[in-house]
Amino acid sequence: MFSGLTGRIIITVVAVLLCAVGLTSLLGYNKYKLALANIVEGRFRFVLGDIKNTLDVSVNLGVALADLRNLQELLDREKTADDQIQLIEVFDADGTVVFSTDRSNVGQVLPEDWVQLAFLTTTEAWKLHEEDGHVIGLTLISSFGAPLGGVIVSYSHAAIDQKLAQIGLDLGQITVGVIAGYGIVLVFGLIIVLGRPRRQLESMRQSIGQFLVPGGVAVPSVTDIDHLKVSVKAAVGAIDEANRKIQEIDGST
Amino acid sequence: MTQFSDSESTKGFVTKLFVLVTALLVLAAGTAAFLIVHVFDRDLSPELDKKAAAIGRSVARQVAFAAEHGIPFEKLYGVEAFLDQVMRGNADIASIELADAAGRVRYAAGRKDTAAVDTDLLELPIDADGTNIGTVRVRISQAYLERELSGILYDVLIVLLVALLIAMELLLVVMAVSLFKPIEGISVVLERASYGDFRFRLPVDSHDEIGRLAEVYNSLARRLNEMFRQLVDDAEEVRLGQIDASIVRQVEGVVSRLTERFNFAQGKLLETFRPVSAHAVRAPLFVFIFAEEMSRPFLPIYIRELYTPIAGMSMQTAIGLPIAAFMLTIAVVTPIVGAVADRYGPRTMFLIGAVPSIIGYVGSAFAGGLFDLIGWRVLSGAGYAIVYLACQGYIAQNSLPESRAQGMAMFMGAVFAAGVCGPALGGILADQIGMRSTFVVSGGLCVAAALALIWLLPADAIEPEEGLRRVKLSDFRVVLTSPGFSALVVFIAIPNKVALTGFLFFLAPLFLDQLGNTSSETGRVMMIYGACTALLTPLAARFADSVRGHRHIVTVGCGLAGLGLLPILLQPSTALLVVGVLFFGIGHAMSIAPQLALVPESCPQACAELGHTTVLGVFRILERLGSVIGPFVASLLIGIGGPVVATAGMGALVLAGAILFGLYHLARPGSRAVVLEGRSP
Repeated sequence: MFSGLTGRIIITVVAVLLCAVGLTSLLGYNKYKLALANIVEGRFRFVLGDIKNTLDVSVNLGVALADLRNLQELLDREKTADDQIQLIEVFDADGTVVFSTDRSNVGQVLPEDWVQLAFLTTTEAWKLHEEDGHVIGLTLISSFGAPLGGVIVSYSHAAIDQKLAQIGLDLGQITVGVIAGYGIVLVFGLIIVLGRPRRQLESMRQSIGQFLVPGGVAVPSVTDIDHLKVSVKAAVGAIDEANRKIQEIDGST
Repeated sequence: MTQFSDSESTKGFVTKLFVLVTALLVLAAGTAAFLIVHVFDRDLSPELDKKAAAIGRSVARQVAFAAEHGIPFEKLYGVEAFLDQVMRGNADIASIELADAAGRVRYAAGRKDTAAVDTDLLELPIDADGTNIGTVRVRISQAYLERELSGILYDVLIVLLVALLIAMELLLVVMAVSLFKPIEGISVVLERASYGDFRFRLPVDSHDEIGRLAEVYNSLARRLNEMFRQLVDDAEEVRLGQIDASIVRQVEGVVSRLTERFNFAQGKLLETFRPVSAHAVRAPLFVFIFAEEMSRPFLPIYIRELYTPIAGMSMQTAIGLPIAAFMLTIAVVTPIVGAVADRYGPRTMFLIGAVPSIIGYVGSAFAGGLFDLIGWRVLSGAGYAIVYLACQGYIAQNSLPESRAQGMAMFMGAVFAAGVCGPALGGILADQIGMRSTFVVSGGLCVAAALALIWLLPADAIEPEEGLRRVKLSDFRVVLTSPGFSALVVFIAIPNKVALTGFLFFLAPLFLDQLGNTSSETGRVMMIYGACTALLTPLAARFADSVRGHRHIVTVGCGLAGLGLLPILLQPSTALLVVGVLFFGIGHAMSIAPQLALVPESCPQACAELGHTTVLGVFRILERLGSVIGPFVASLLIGIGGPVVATAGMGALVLAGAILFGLYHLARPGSRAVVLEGRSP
């Protein structure tokens, strides 16, 4: 069915339909990924900014980071409120963790590259992609402009990945459904539209086929390609006549 | 021949086919877009709720903190400024309100959204020392979500438009290769057979209706030729058995009378008749130009990212270098390759041209610095020039003089269609997969274009031809002595090409980026230019021909193109830049074809001496000078007064050119007579 003219056109159009719907879904997926990442990151940036503001108030009053009361409670509350948050930590100028939602981390030193990035990016939030999640951080600056430490929020990308997988599945279903649904309509539509030229070509084939008889060429009585009929008839007649004359010449000698 | 080759019948069938395909593609993409947006709305809303909850918690905590320190809820100071500050950093929040325990709103920031707002309202209690003192109400901005979703809809529309244009291109090729070309072959062979010429057989490339028809005809022709050969053999036998010369002459006379009336194959094999179709290069050309057009919306941004300071050169000039290098390569390579192109034939030249293009795009994707990129763009430019020439040459070879204009229109149709889709899709891809990956996609498309050409244009289908006369240095002297030609080049062609590369390819993407637009949005703006030229150029050409007013149309068109770039002086905004691109596109659409028509009219003596093709070649080369200097002129203007002055400066240059061109023709009283004389055969 798909080797003929109709088949080639159907394959072309269905391929374009597949590409159009597939590309629409793919671009939609990427857009969703970006939008979701922006919204989720925006949420954690807000949480981060909120904690930093609280810290700034105390630091500007001259309270040392390690002496901040209620901070641990605030960190724990924020972590509890959002199940995507893995860890919230506050570190000092040496990169040593002074508060953490994971108490066992207190006193440990953050990875060197985190600390370097924190003290290089002092005016805006910095971001790192780790194997098990994302880390965003803000640097704390004293009223004299010196870096005092910083605060980080680490959040899991498992939930985002899960959402993306789900949306990928949904979009896949939409793509397959739309392609299948419209593909069937398209195939039937094309078969109908292409029916007439196919019938005309078939009629031509039959007309020419009527010239052919076993072992030779006959002139059919019915054909819609008159000029060809006349020409073939004339050629067949002329060849027959020539044959007859040659036999006559041969016979007369 | 039959009713099938009747043009009305074919047109009706093609129209039905295109309507069906367009309608179903629009419906399918529309359905997909609707369902996708619905899924996104469903899934993104809870994420926004979570953020609203985080904001609400923070605000509630701050208020509770104040209350716990003895400040009554209704006497809090600076709350609205604090809420405003929270709002500023969170575009997805429409409003925040603080209501007291009785439910009265005491403090508020932001705006109340439309009807749907209540469904997106989040309320959190404010508890101080274990007592409820009020409520925080956070409203999520519907507009934010709608903006995110509208971005998806725009992308879908672009994809749909691109898909439709690609579908049309592919259908044209499939129809041309699978239907029209074989039908043309059948038509020619059967017509020849009708006049007694049975030497040809039809190619059987498929086993469909056409293949079966060809097989049947081939059987008929083969049998007739067999009958003829049998007769010749019999006659030869009789002739050899005779010693009487008069009888031998009689036998020869019978055969020669037959061959005078009919043509049969000389040997045992019939010659295969294989018509060529100008459409064969359309799809490969479309894909190839599409690949180049994809980088338009982000190329200057990409160059800026690779830029490192160069002594004695401003950043703007440095950004212009790769764009100018590409244009310069085209200008230099075109005449050089033109001289050898015909020796190898369009197919080979296309495939040769595809190689540097593919390397150029992939190299651009991995460029480590500005000078790397210049090198890769030079390669891409060389490939572009070769492929462009190859396709142009193919159309010229495979169309009759009387249908050459149609062939060229088909050629330009593919270029324009690519100009509409390329920037738009390129912008989207750059946003989503990155600029480097988009260059890789361009390289892949060049490979696809080359493969399509190999499939559509078999090596035996075309023969290399003797070349046309090529442009020589002395031709410039001959042509430029004509004041009309010089005026056209200096006032119209060069300023417009300067503005095309300087403004559209160089300045507009940078300016739009500076105004906060994404690559997708820049692509959509640049698509306006392509759409204007694709839609209006044929109409403007027909109109100019019908009123015989090429000069006026060129003057008005270029005037519009320049004028549209001036309003940016009022306020640097995306909207006014869009207006500029729109007018620029309309103006160019009006003037492209009439400009070409004016070339022979402006220098009839040079045309008589050198021929139209050579004069047009000289015009093209001079015009390309404008393309080369365009980015430098733009960077100079940016250095003087920034992008606003540069945009307006480009507009002023084009407008001034149009005015001077108009004045020049007004000042030459005999110009009309010359024009009409130049038009006569």
